[in-house]
Amino acid sequence: METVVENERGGVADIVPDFDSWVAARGPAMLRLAYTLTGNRADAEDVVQDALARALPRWERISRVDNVDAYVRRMVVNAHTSWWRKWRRRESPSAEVAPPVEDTGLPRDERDAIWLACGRLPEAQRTAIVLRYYEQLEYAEIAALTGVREGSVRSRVSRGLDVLRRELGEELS
Amino acid sequence: MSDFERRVEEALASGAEGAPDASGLADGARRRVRRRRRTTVAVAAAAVVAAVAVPVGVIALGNGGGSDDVDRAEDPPVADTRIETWHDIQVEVPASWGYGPRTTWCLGREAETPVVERPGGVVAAIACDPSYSFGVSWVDGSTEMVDPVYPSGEVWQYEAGEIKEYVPGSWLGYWYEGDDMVQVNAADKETVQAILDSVQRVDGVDANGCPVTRQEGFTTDSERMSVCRYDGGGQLEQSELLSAEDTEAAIAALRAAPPGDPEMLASCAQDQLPRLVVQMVNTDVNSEVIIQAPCPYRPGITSGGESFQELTPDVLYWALSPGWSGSVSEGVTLPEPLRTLPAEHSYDSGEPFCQDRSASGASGATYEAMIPSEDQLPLVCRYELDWGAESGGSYVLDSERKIADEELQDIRAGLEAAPTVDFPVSQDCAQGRGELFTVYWNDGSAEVYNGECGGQYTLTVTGAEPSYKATSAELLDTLGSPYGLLR
Repeated sequence: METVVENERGGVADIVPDFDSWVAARGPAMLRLAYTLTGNRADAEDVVQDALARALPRWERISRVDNVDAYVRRMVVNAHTSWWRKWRRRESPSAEVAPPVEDTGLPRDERDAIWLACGRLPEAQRTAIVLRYYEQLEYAEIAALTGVREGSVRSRVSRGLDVLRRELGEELS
Repeated sequence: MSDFERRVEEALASGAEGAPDASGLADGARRRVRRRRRTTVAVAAAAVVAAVAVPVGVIALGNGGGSDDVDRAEDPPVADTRIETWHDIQVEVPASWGYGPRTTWCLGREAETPVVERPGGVVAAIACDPSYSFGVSWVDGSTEMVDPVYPSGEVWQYEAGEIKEYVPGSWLGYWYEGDDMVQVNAADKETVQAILDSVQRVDGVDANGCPVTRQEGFTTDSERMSVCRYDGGGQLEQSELLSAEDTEAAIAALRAAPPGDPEMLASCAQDQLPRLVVQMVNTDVNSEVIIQAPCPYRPGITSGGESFQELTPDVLYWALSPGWSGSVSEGVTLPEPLRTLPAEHSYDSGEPFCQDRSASGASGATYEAMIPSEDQLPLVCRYELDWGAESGGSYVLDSERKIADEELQDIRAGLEAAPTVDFPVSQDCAQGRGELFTVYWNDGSAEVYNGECGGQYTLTVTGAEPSYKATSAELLDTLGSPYGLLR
């Protein structure tokens, strides 16, 4: 269900998704982002639930911002950062087993190795790497999203890549 | 993009496909909003307490139905506003505003009754509708998230959506800088705007005469007494400037306190900093009231670090500013009444200190824990794993107990002695079952599983990265496992 509202910027009608519609459409993408950030299915759910629970009471307002996806994505990243800050990394017993990953061009072992190595990166570097290479964001966008300078983002990405290369036995560029 | 970057890109895209199923996310968010509100908790739970937690309900009852401005009949006319400070952020609020959690208004007052709320403390985990009463609150950026939609200082009228967070039609605004935020909600725009305009970050001493970080032996040239409450990290929790008459009474109480044993002071100074200190300072007096102390000595009053006096209820009456909540060490007698919360802000929820880990997240396997506040520590929570109908199972709180420092030392010694095991962080505990203990202390926590999860292990969380240790029978004995699960 969608609602047509007057745009605050110029009176142009916008299509505003209701909360359920937006979550149905974009929830899976947010969960995938959270999963790449946390490396853990339960934590990914926790992070996204947390962000959505914070967004829901303010949905009337959030749904009118220029880019709802970007706004909620920032909330997810914030929730991840905050979650990390508060709880560090913790295990939670689970009966679920992660489903097998679909086959792509890379050899299975290397994809797994890169994925696991990403999970071991320091939180700031991993966030930068994920936003850059999973979300395909520009450095400036990552800087705006994470609240650090663009130069710091570049440095985090570069250092993160160096760590990954080292772990995978690659030549450093 | 280099070849390696492309491979990283592919690996992340491939790995992301293992993300959990998104069904039920919206409903899950609704449940969480209803359940969560504020998760910190209330009310003394255990009989074995080295530090006597003071239930807020008792404080309120002790107030004899009075109000936070107690009986100050001799005072000069009350000013229209007063200064409230938390850490280094100062704000000016209407003098008539009370104190207490904004989220528990439905336990005894109207949502339109404004209060001043500080981070921390004990807050009942209930869900009022709307969620928040009128008032002002600080957001601790180190533990809570700040996701502002509008620029700092903007004021807008609240339109209730599906879930009512605030009184419909009321006015909202916030100030923020970095991770710190002050939120204001009131009936009219002018009040919200005025409070927001008054917010300022203090560098040095606030308008009540209190340094924003604890300075032993600081002096003032004011005849009116500054009452400055500091947390264990030395940050200002609350400040107050007493009237001339109240200053006189407070000085009399300090001078009437009997002398204590200075050896106790010396032994504490070699140990740890006190957790809760109130400095009471004017031109004639410079006293530190140590209300809660972790080290093996009693609370008391020091003056310039040289003398030591017993802590009396009369001194506490002045040291505990209205709105104070927390705990005092064993043996401290509270005054009757307290200068504290109005009766209508009282509650007695009976909620546990330990967090419910049974129903957060879509799978039920995650947790929504929050480290208890300092006055609830050290604390042991015991959970039982209930597979139930939900995939992933859940931990159900079984019991909790606040423990003595000596017992905590035994537990930590057991944790340190346990051998480290190699347990992959990414490994799921497909066979996890049994019981779980969580132990919280002042600057750390540990989780001890008594079950089969990659072999029995203990997960200790004392830094940015956890370490994994084998769970020992001795440690379980120390923690206490009354049900003997899997043992």
